[in-house]
Amino acid sequence: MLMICHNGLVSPVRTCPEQSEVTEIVKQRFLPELGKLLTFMAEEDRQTALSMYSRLFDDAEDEQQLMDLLVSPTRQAVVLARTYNKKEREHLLASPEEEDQTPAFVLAIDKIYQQVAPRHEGEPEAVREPEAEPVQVNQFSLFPDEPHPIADSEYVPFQIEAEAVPIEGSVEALPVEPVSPDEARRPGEEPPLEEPPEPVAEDEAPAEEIPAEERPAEQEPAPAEPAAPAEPKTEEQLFPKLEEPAAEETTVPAPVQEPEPELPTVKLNAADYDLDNLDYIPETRRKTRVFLLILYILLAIPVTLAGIVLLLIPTVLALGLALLVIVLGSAALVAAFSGFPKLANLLIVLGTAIIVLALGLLLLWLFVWFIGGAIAGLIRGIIDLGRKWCFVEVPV
Amino acid sequence: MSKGWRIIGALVLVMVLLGAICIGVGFMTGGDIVEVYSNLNTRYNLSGYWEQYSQWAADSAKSIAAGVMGLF
Repeated sequence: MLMICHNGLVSPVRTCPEQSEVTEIVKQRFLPELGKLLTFMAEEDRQTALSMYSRLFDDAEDEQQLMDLLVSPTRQAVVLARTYNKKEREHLLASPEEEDQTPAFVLAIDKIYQQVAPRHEGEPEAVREPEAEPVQVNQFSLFPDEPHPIADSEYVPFQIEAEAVPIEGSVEALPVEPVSPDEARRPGEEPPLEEPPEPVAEDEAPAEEIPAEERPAEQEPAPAEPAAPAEPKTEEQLFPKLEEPAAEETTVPAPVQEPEPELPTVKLNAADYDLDNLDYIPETRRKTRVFLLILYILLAIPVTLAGIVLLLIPTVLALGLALLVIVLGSAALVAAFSGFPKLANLLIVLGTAIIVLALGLLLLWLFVWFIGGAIAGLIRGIIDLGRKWCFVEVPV
Repeated sequence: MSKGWRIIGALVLVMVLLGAICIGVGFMTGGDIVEVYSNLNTRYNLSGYWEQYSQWAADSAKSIAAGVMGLF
């Protein structure tokens, strides 16, 4: 099912290319950048992934949804990196008979594809766009060798511009055929990155028939112009460092020269990567400061003993008091149930006995805490301090 | 150790509350502290223990004071 669009292009997909020129421009910048980021993949897998992304751009029904899903080439590269095992893939590629399941990165791309371009029932796969050409690392356009979708006649304004530069502003010296605004506008709709002079030619083409000062006024109502403000909005999300929008180029006729293609800057976010799986742990060895250790031992032993003695005083005191209080409480408890015929008095003695026993329990726990917490903590703290002062970790 | 403190603290708090409730109920139901003391004094000779303790404390205080004064 081929669709012939009004600009003469034959599209194998359901939409004409000009319907989503923003998507086309983003695609032309997205794919080469993604191709550079996917160098960790085997070449065959890289080409497969790029062709799938190319199809994704072509078949996407909702541009905004596609942008939201893709986010950036870096993001997609990280997504693929998480699902890709190069050694395993190279092994499978070397022995295709062992490859019995779809690679994970293909499934990851297909998941995005299903969200932005769900397949219609009854639509055969063959109708879809044929496989894209392999994208080279330094390629900026999707049309490296094949004929450009724009007819050769439409490149004439470009040649005119090259000759018209020395006599800028003069319209009589341009020996060319008059080009209608409609024809001149068409190249600007799909400007490949490697040929940026085309938008300039678009502006200069009507200069032969129209005075220079009237040109901007006549070009404004052109149908390609309203799409220009929408372009930077989408591009800035993905390519913030690329050149100015095409609308500004129409007002300033720049000298025609082959510009260097500006490489998009790729910023890698640490948040995009799984840093928890880093298994690099530097090996260290403990080195003893012998002199300091001897000195510390000589000082630590008497200090520790003094501290233990000091802590033993409240410890023993707590134990004695606890035993005394528990004995008193037990005596009161026994007396409550044996010597008081009146219930009210019995309750008073019983309550007092319970409170005294509670105090005895608290003192007994204080004794345990002095033994197991304070004295043991003192010894442990002195040992830790000696370990910190007298040993040093050095890399192996 | 902190868990032990929490357990002991909760246990002591419960026992103190229970004892306070018992004492309160005893006083509300006509308990008399003089009767209780006289009963315990008869049973355990509390006044005798108190007298001995007071004597020991006074003697100890005097000896400590004499020792301190002897230093100067």
